[in-house]
Amino acid sequence: MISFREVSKRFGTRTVLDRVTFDVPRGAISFVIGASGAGKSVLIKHVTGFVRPDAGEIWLDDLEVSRLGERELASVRKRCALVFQHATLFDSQSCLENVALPLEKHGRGRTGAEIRARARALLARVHMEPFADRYPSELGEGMKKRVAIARALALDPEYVLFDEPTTGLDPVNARRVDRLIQTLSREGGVTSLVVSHDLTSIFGIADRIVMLYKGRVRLIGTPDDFRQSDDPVVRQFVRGEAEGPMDA
Amino acid sequence: MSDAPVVEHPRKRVLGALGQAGIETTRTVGSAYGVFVRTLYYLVRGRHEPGAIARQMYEIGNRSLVFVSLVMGFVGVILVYQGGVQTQRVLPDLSQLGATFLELLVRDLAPSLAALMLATRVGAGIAAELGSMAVTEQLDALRLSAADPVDYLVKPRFVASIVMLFVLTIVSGTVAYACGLVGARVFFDLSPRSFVDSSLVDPVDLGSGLVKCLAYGAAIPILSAHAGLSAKGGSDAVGAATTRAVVHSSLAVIALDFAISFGAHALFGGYSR
Repeated sequence: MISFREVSKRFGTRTVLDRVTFDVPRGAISFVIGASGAGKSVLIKHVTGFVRPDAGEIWLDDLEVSRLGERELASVRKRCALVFQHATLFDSQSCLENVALPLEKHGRGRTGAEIRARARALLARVHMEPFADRYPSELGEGMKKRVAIARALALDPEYVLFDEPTTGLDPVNARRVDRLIQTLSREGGVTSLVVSHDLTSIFGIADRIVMLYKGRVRLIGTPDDFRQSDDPVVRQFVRGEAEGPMDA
Repeated sequence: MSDAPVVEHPRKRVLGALGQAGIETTRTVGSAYGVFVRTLYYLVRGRHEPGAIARQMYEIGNRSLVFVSLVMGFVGVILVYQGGVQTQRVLPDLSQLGATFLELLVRDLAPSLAALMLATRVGAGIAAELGSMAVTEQLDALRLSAADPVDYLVKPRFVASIVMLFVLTIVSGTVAYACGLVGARVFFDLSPRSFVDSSLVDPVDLGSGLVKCLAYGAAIPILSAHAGLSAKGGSDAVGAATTRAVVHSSLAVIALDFAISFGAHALFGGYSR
């Protein structure tokens, strides 16, 4: 389980997160939703230690991540993968090499041939195996994102954090990514924490939703709780209405 | 309580700004030193990938060769011409022109000028590449893959820069000397036989030049990589990192030149001849 306990974060004079508290249950697909700039991406980067909280604690099972040094964080990052908003593939490496990198770094006694075979299998999982030898510059945004997902899955993580995984994808590829997240969770027992504004994804695959508004938790619940909420902010967001109490 | 704005004394403001600049400089030097120490650590304990070093050697060395040689060729002709003209004002004897020029090249000019050019071409390139990776979260993606950016990106550039600065210094120094020889023939009708003279070059000159190569070759990639790695924000941050890399690397070359020359002078009582 991932637990955020009273997490606060400021950048300069701007409070991005204000005493955020919630749990991400094991094996479930949890979404963090909210308007752009609500602090969603900052929040999930706390789990991998790329952002440190000004106050509060982040727990990964029985490990307090917010107290760990860079060296200890390596083991957390092995268990907890992050798929960035932009694909963040290494331009100088082919898709296969990108996916093979974490496998090479963690070794596990695998030979080069075994690592390449595993990387190909991961690419096949996201339907990108035919493009294994292509370089990121030769791929579209959606294809890059799928390769980035394959790389994130390379070390069989227990937790996968997705930062807007369907943004910039066409509807077909977006639904494929949704299905992949679902498969990981249902068949692989992976815990997914997804940051998104994609209402189709949110109401299609979420087990649990946390809404952030002005740096604070506005509502935690199931998709049905959100559909039936009387809160005008929640209603405006889930209906995608231009007019309402949410700031522009 | 009065609502009147607090007016700060100008001296206080200047002192404050100086203090701030001092703190910033100390922080930058400390953090660049941290990158240097981690690079040395990974040289011993990190992954060994000759391919990555070879690629960087090509980028840093081969692709700088024409630029550095061209500039050094011009510098060779200009220095010999200016040196000859000045010498003739004092005494009409140019027999030591070639020997003095070679001593100057070996001791100082070849490594320092090659390094300054490398600081602009390679330093800017390293900072831009690593800065782009920093602002597009590729460095975080590397960390997630259990690869330390210092091991993965800085170390190959560090090794390649040291090796290739030696090579560039030798090649571009030779080009400068050859061009100086042609200049001496054209401007002063000096024969190659009297120009080519290594009698003034002693082991201290050679040692000083080699130590400078090593120091510059290490400083340029470390300071440039540090500038790139610490880029935060968007494309403007990459631009700022690139500028910082060139300024810091160039300053480091000049400062190291001074320190090593001064050290050699202090240790060996000046240059022997």
